[in-house]
Amino acid sequence: MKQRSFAEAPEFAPSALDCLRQPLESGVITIARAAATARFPARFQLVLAANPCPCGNAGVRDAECTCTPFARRRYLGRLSGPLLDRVDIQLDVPRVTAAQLRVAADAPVTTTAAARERVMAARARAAHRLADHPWRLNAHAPGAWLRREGAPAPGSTAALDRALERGALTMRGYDRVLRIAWTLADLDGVDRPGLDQIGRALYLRKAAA
Amino acid sequence: MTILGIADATVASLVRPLTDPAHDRDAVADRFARATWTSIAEPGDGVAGRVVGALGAEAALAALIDDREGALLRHALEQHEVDLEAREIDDAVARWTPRISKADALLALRQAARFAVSIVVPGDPDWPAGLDDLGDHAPIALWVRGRRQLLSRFETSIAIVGARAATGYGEHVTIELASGLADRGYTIVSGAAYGIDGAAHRAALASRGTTIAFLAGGLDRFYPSGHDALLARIVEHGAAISEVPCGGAPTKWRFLQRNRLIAAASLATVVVEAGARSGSLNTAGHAAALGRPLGAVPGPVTSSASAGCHRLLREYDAVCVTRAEEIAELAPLAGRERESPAAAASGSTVEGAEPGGRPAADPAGTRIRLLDALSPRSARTVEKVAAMSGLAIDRVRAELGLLALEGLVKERAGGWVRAAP
Repeated sequence: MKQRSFAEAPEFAPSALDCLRQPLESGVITIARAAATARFPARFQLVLAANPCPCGNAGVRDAECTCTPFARRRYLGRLSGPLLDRVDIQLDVPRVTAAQLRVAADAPVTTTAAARERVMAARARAAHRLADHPWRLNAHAPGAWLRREGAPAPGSTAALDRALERGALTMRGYDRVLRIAWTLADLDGVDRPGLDQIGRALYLRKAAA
Repeated sequence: MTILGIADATVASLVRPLTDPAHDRDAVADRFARATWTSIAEPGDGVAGRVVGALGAEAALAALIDDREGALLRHALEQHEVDLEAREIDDAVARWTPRISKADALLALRQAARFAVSIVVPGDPDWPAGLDDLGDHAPIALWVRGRRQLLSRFETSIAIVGARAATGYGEHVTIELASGLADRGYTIVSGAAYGIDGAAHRAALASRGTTIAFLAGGLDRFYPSGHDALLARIVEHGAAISEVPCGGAPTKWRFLQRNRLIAAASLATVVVEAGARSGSLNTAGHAAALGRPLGAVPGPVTSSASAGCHRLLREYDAVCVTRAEEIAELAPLAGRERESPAAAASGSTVEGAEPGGRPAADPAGTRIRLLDALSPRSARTVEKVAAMSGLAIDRVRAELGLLALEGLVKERAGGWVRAAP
């Protein structure tokens, strides 16, 4: 799997970003021309980075944002709703302050090596669990499987079901939450995601956004 | 001693497979007599209900068999001071006696054993309490095929019924309503007919909820036959119930009587689509007569498939319902047992999840502690909330994710706040 990173994502043309929607879902880019249709493999992990506003100071303590509220809205608005619906994890990365740097020096740190070990273990778990299925990663699990054989522990999807009913969550979003919940379950070493994993999946997704 | 010319030992060997093997002689005899009564009296026979209620099923049956003219029965009823007119008793005896048949009784029980049908009588712990509201017209016994233990789920059941000739709109709405209710932990009760009934059962099964079907004929042969596969699934994951013994045909009268069971066993009845003369109006009428909440789904005023629903809204004080939520309001689950079928089946519940798929009831107080640690104005980081609430950071994240989905908390620059109510 390839990784594609777009720094300053809102600076890209919205139409260009929205072209990513289809390959994000299907893992294939289809180009149709008069004479032929070509399909190219396009399974990739998309990483988008964005500043909170054009000047980059919004929400930062002791810094002044010079953007108008309208400009701020429009800036992040360039990332369309359907595109964000396909983003599984949204993280706020606050600006690091000098005080934090000092505190961080004493706090335990997750090293890349340790993180890698956890990821390898989770992937091994997933591969073992999915041995009888044609896919190897939770990201590739089909929606129908996620909602049937691969459904989370009974009773744990009530909040998701309700949100789907209310329209607070799309069907695609629903499936994506379940995929992340499976990954969290693999990381936690549990057999099946439960309410805890679903809650954290929603937290990572910024559910209500 | 014998019943119907059948020795006690034989009776026991026939009845025990259909019920609790721990029953003593009297309990077995009572069940056998009630089973026989279901083939003698038509469903909803109020006289049979009174006679059996006053004399006991076994004594009433014995009196009827020993003197087919009815004199013994009349005498016994007088002794018990049962207030029935002589003519009523005579008429009843005249319609019962031709049906007393040892062969039929044996066949019904043998067929029942073959199809793993069990028999439930009033007083059994799993007898649906709602049926007692039918008084004399309550069934004398119920035949159950499938998971008998689910009968206790009638305490959280909603009947969804409607026309066989349903429109696409009707089936769509039914599926939405039934799955929404199943997700909330309700049991879906219906009649397994084509159209609305079938859609309701299917949606409940697809949502891994509990569903129970009342049939008008014997349980050895499914009706309608086009729903063979659906009924096989209902029996596997839920239950099918009839008050007619195996071998009994689904007659028009039995369909109408079957409807009274659907209405009486459920907390509330919802009619999704019904023509002006649909049988589901009969179910609705029973529900209204029993004082059960009645809901009707509106449709286009030009649609003949909705004409009956509109009449229910106008003339029967039916409540207009359009979403599962509104039906849940008709028959709130608060304070009732609400263990989810799936959770009970697997024997596992998720920590913090309300069994039954309802919004988390928060047994550990996680929610309250977390909401207490949040302020409506100043945003707090996850780490800070964790420290203030005394919860693990992962627990805080999981709970925040769920609360955010429900709109109770919001993320702002630099942290989380409680959403304004």
